[in-house]
Amino acid sequence: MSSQIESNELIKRYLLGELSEQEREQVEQRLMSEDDLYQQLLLAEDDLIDDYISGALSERDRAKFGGRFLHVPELRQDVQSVKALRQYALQRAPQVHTRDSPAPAHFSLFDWFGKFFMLPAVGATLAGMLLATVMVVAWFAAQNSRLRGQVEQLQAQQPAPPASQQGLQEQLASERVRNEQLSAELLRQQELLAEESRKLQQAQGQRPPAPAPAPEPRSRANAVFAFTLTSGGIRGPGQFKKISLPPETREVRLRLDLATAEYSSYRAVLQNSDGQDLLTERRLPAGGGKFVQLNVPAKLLKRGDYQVLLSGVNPSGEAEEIDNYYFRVLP
Amino acid sequence: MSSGPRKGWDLTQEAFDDLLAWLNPDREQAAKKYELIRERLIKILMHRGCPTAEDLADKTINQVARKVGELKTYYEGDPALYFYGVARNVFSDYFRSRPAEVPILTQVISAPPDTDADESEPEHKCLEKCLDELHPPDRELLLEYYRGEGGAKIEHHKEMARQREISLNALRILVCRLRSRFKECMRECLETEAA
Repeated sequence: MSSQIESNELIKRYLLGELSEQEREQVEQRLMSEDDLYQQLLLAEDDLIDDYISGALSERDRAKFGGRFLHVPELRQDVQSVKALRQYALQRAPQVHTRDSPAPAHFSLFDWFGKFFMLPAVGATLAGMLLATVMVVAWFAAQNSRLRGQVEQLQAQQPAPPASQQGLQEQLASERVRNEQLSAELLRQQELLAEESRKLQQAQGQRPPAPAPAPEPRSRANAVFAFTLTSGGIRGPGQFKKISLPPETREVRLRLDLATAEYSSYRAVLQNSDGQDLLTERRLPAGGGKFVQLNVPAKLLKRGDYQVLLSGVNPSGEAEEIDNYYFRVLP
Repeated sequence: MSSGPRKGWDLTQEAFDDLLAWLNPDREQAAKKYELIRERLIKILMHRGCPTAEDLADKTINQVARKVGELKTYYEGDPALYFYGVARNVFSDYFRSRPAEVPILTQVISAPPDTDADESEPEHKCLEKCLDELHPPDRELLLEYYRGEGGAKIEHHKEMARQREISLNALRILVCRLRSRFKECMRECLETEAA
């Protein structure tokens, strides 16, 4: 203990420039190689700055401090920063307020939210909400997958006798609508989940989110998402179909609605917002005459805007551009 | 005192790699050692009154790095002390060539620049920014530390340490680290604001 006090005293004298050249060099050599002494120097430096700011230094030490600290830009800046910090802390010191006394002028809404979300009960509630949202999303994903399976089964049954074909088409259309609704709901839930995660992260000061059970791993089949795109014409960017892809998505099936089914096969080109071709499919059939399905590896789709140029292939094999479709991938 | 050589640094990557290898065969450990040496050189040079401490520290590192090939063959001991020896010479050269009108560092100056002026707008902006960059519990700890005044300050700090079930010295070290981050952030922010 006594050696630490001696070191403290030595460091203080070093900082105030009271050591001989030889003593100073000895201290500096030790500062280069002794971690503890260097830590003491940092503490002593802070103490001296505090004492200077609060007027606790003697006249003599104050003059020495001024000569040593205030003529080196970085040290002077440190003094100024700590002074500002101290003033700020004192201005914002918690005070007892009576009913008549106004709230502190600097108590911002941000502070209130910060403190509110730091409450353990609030953190636990948010974590619970997050967990519930994850479960809802998982349920919708499972439902979506099941229905998609049914839709595909129905598609496979299309060559059935003409008498049942109309019924199947109606059922298919109905399932497709429901599937779309579920996709939209899934998207909404994903956005809600992302929003909740953001709030929780903000509330915990950018720390890792509170532990919550991870969603069930998706099967390969679940890693495929389908979206229907209607023809874009000259839509502006604000009218892009917005889609959000979970990280484990393997493939995205874009169903391009057809106004009329005039061609036996189609060519689709996927482009990014720079007009760069990302994918070209040359012989796509028209599904039930109502849509063309373009399967896109999810890795091609990053956050951003895309368009699909759809051409019909005429009997002579030439492509005739018929429509374009726009969509936006959300983060 | 962020890492990385600044102005005047003209060493090759190869020489820098050799320097790191000399400090420690493990590159990660070497990088830590490099940071530590640089930070301490800057601190020492500042307390010798050098207004361009970072530049002189980098000049020192530069000179050592150029000799590292020979150093490996004969130098024994803590490399940090070798750096210190070079820094002393660099510092002496600097003072010899320093313009005469610049005040000598060892003088006790009776009228230091005024630090009692009100906070400037950039300073206030940077203060809030740098406090925001701390985690909320760290920010609160730092602000609370400065809420004690006069004779009550020590008691206030002791109470803070008691509440956190740590020693007073541990609290001081914790605050010192936070304050160091805060000061570093303030320096960078004010430089940016001034640019």
